[in-house]
Amino acid sequence: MMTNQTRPILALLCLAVLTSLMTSFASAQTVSEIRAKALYTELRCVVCAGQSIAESNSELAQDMRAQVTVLIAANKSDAEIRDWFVTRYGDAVLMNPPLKPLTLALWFGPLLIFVLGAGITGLVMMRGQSRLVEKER
Amino acid sequence: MSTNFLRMAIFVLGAVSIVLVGTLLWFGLSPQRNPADFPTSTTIQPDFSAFGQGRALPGFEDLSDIAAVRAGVEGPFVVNFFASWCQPCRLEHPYLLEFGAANPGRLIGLAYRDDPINAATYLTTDGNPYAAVLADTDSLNALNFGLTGVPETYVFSADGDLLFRSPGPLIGALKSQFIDAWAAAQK
Repeated sequence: MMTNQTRPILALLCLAVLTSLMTSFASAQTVSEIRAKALYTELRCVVCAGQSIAESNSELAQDMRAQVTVLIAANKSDAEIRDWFVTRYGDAVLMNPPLKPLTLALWFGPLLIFVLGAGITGLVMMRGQSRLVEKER
Repeated sequence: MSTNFLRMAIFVLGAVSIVLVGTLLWFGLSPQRNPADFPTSTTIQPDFSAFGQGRALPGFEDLSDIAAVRAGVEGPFVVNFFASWCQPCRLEHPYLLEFGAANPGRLIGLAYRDDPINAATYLTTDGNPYAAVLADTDSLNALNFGLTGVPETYVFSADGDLLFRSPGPLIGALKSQFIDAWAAAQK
């Protein structure tokens, strides 16, 4: 018969078994699998509009994913794997365009337009205020 | 600050932003530009390290030695990726047959993601334009060539420099561009 004292001990045991099971499932994902998944989200599927190879199931995306795992198995670093695809497809294969002179407008253009807009707004407000001051005179 | 100066500044800043946004829209919304198309470029040289690796098509084993075909013929050559399952490939197939007959030894075919048996059946029933043909079974050549889909055709100089690539079937405008590129490659 179960006494009132054994019950919490049993509950704790169950909890311990459950947590150890969960952690063992989580660690079943190897380091290379985690790396591969991260790289999938960084590489563009070249036949899809605006999708990474993690999101697409097109043939070329499957080929690219397979190649990523091949390169990881060949002990290539993440940077080397990105370069492998860039030398074959160009910078457009990266989901994040690299920062270089040609892409400056891409990275800072929106900021420039915001600054211009903020400047115009500020100037219009200043003009309104100086008009008020002139009227008060 | 004087109101005149402020008015001037507002005008100048407003004009600058209209011009900026205008140019962005002008180029961004140009009808020639399809943002869904992946930009292909002839400045990226294909990697030939796995060129000729693949599986022979049954019945076409004698054509599977791409290196021998390349060594036997001097001069520019063309690499065409195709597949038996690919419908646009059938559109350019009559022209490929014509080109292959007119330029013996120059047209190399790589079957992309295709069962070698299906590719062989396709070439037997529809005709084989290729001087050499292989099934690129692991898609390594496709990635090495920066393939963006089938069909895709690459024109190389005798030295193996990429001169032109057609990211679609050789019909219409792409076909005439290909003809011009091939003529230029002979010089």
